[in-house]
Amino acid sequence: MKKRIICHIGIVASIVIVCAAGRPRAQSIFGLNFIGEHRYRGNARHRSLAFSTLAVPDSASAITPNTASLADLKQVTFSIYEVLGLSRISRGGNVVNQNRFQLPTVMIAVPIGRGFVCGVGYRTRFESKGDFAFRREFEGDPTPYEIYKRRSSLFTAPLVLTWKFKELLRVGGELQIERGSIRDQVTIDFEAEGYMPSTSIQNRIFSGTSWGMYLLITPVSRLSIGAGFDDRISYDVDQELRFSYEEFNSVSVDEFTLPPAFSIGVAAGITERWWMSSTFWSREAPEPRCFEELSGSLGREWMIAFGIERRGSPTGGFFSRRPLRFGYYQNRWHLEFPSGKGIFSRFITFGTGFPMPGGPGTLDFSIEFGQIGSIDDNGIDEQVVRCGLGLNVSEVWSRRRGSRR
Amino acid sequence: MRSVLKSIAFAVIAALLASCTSDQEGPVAGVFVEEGLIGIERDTLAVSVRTVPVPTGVGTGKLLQIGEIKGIHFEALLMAFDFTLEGGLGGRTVTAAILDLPVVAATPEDTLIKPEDFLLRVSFHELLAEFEETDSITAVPGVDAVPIPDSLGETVHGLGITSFEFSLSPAFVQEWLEGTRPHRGIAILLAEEPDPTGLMEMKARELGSDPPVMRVAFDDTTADTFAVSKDYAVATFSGDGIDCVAGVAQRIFFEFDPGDDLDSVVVHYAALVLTVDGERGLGATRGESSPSPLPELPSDFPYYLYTPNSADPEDPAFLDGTGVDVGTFLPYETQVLEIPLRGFMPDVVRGLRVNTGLVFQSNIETLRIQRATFFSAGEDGQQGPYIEVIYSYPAEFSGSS
Repeated sequence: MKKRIICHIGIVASIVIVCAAGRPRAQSIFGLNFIGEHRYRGNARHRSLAFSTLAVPDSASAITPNTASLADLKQVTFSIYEVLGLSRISRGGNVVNQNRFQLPTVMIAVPIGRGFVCGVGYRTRFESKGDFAFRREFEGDPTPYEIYKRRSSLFTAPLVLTWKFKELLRVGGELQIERGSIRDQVTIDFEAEGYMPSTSIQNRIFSGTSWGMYLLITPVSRLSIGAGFDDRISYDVDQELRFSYEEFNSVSVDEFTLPPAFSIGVAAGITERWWMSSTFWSREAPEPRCFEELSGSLGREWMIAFGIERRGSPTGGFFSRRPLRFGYYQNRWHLEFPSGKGIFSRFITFGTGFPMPGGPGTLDFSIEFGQIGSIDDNGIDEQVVRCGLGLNVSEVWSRRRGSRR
Repeated sequence: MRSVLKSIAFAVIAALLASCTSDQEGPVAGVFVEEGLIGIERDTLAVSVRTVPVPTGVGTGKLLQIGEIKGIHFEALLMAFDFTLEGGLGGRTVTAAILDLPVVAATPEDTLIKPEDFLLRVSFHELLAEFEETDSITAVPGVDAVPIPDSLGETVHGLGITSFEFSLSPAFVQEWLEGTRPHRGIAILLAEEPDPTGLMEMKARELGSDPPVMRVAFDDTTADTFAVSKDYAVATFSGDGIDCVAGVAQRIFFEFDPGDDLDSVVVHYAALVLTVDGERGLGATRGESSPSPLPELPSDFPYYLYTPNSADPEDPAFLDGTGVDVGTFLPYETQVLEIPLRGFMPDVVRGLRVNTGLVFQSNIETLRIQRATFFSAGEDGQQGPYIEVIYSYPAEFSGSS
């Protein structure tokens, strides 16, 4: 059994690594500003319910919006989730098609008895990648081009401990090791021989720690309430500036703080199979330190989500046994572009899942259709389709009889 | 069920693999940096110019020239003959001596005069010292002031395409053959300033055929021909413009001060910009540019630009340095010549190299005579030499102040 799980993990990880290696992409063109686009937590099931699942207990996955939900895991569980985004970006008659992978999210959770479950994993908080060039206005020949590259990823490695008190209360705490970098590179080049390009690079290394606390309360069998608190993240920022002429290089140290985030959600079962859920998430505007050019252009971020799930029946035909999930979420970014004009993401989502053949675990799919930004407010809009694939595999880890020497 | 899962998995993997490419964000992202992160500028630096003579001479040319063209004065032709006779004179007496100069081209600077009508008045003088073709002769060497007369006592002769055989005094030749009069060579000098000026060209020994010869007739009706054993055209140049002259020679020294403005920029491109005065340039003489008798020589001007090891033209180190650029151009066509300075200017503005200026010279300075002249500021309404610099400032990133 262990071998098979490892085999499954290996296959999926290989696919993800092969496809995604070196190609972590921005979720959105707007992610080329500030610290990138926010990636909400949750695997394919939670995405197909539009991240409305803060209050939804999940006994199959280690990747959930609510850490406290891990307390429902009875077996060692490994979860991995990967998403591919396809978008069509429009601005002033220019259209660009983008296909983007995100770095996978992974998590492993281990029950340690007495209602406690611990876990560890990797999750990207913000990321972006951009490659573009444009002609510069310049008198005479030759024409210079400004070539811009951006790579950013702020990620966290959460160390999780959860506890379950009967069916009423689940509590989860996270110690989060925060790391990441934002690298901007600008090159001036000319379409002519004999002209030397110049490159300027700003590399900012982020590091810090934070903590989070989550609750999941089930006062009655078909009603759950979830709440979460992610404390502020105070990043130490090591900033390095490198140029074609090394005498211009410099290093400096700065700080950047993301304010605390709050979330609250509710899930209710209309019937045994039909459940509705909703979540609201919010974080105050960060100070624009390290991003002075965005002073006045950073606002409060919030997200509101609604979802409805028809859970799979243990009996019946193929479609009856499949879960069906639908949702809608709206997210206002921290970034305002231009200043005073918020960027909104609006997505409808749906998805389903399958049990893993031959053992405990699920294979879930999610699809999102939506739009980020608008021509009227932001000058750019982005039509987005995202396809997600999540894998959860579980098994009981116990010492085999007679294995002790 | 398993087949369904397999199909889905296959489709997902295929989709992932197929979508590993994307368009560049391109113009849609330009809105984020429309002002640009980097300022790009074009600027010019003034240069001061002076010419530096580097006296030299070319003794191995395949043509010998006398006269003047484009300000280059071909002042003298030096020739020496090997008068060694097997068995000696044997009591014979020279009755006639003819100097045969194989003239191939005449170039009067007055284009109204036909080449065949153009003559230079020359006289022949004994050299007071020997010369070698490998010498660098930059001025007419010592000669006997009294010309060698012909058999009739005449000392001045007209040299032209149709007038290239000259009688010399048999007595002089007799003594050269006997060895009683040292033969160090003959100098052919302009007997008078030509009017109009122009150039007369003849074959040199180095051409390999039909060289200048001395034909001698004896009293026993025998005759001998003595080919030239070494020859040399002595040239000088005098001009007050921005002239680079090969074979004479003269280089151009450019000095400039980059100032403080470039201390904080990245140089993308720098070039020394010159305007060629085609009227005064010499790429090839008529003899050199004719397909006969020698293979046509190129008429472009190969240059070499270097930064000297010393900024003092009196210092021998000035004559050598680090190469900046090599190239060619047509010196007889008025045009703007832009010579890229490559890594030189970045090194100077960064303080990695001492700014000793730039020196422009012919890349065949000791092999051939050519002239390139550049306009100075305001001359004929033209722009003088300057250095063009294209540079940018380091990017101003957010939060990097």
